[in-house]
Amino acid sequence: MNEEPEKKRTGGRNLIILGIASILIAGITSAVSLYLYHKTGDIYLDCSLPGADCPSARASSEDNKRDENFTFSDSGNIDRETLEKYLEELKNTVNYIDKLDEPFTSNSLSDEALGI
Amino acid sequence: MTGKKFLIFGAVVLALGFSFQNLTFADTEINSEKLENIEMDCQSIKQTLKRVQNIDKNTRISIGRSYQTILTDFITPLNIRIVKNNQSNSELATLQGRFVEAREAFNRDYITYSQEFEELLNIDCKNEPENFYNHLVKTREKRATVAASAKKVREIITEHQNEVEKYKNTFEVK
Repeated sequence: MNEEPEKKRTGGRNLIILGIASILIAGITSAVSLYLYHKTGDIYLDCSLPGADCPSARASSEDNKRDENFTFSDSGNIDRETLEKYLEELKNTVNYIDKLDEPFTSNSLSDEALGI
Repeated sequence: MTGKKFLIFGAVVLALGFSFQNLTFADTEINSEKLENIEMDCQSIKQTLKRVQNIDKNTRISIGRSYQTILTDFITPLNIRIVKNNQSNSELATLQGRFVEAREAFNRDYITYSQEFEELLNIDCKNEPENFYNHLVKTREKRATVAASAKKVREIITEHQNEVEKYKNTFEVK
């Protein structure tokens, strides 16, 4: 007579345990992933972060006048004209790097710049 | 008399040496004036640092994308094409390997620098100005390493351009 309510009670308890265990596992795995994300330094290279101004970086191919779709084909003949075109396109990308005014220059963190 | 002259000469050399040392490492020495400035302008220093951090982030993204483009759209397909044409250019192949290594070193150095920068920003400069300044000096050193890595990659690109130019000149003008 009393078996039915007892089963129901145990089933309910198991469901709660399952729920808590799932939340705990999700919490632990999320914490571990976040720790690894930070520890490996991927956080500093991730341009999908809100702080990273990725749209401007994507627009870089327009700034450097490089044909967005240009990719040197890995098949075909090799001759003087092909290599000339290659060098010309490569130069546009390299010019973009050169336009960045002395990246990571020491002046930005100098005592003077920080007002120390 | 000679001994006196020698002493004076020695003193002058020492004085010059010390002043040169001060000139070279002026930005790494802590003095009470600097500590006071840090304590007083803590907030504005942190704001400037955050601005630098954002600029660096964007520079890293721009530079990183350009490196990626150069590797995947230029260097790698060129070397594959050379092989497919039954030719060989060991110098260009070596430069590809060096470019990959240099780019990875740049990323690694940037991560280390960013971690140091993050630690610097977490220090309470109002209450720990000395600790803050010591970390600032360390951050500067890491920043210099990143700059050197970027320079190294740029040098390899120039070497690659020169090598392709040389390779181009081995072909006849049509």
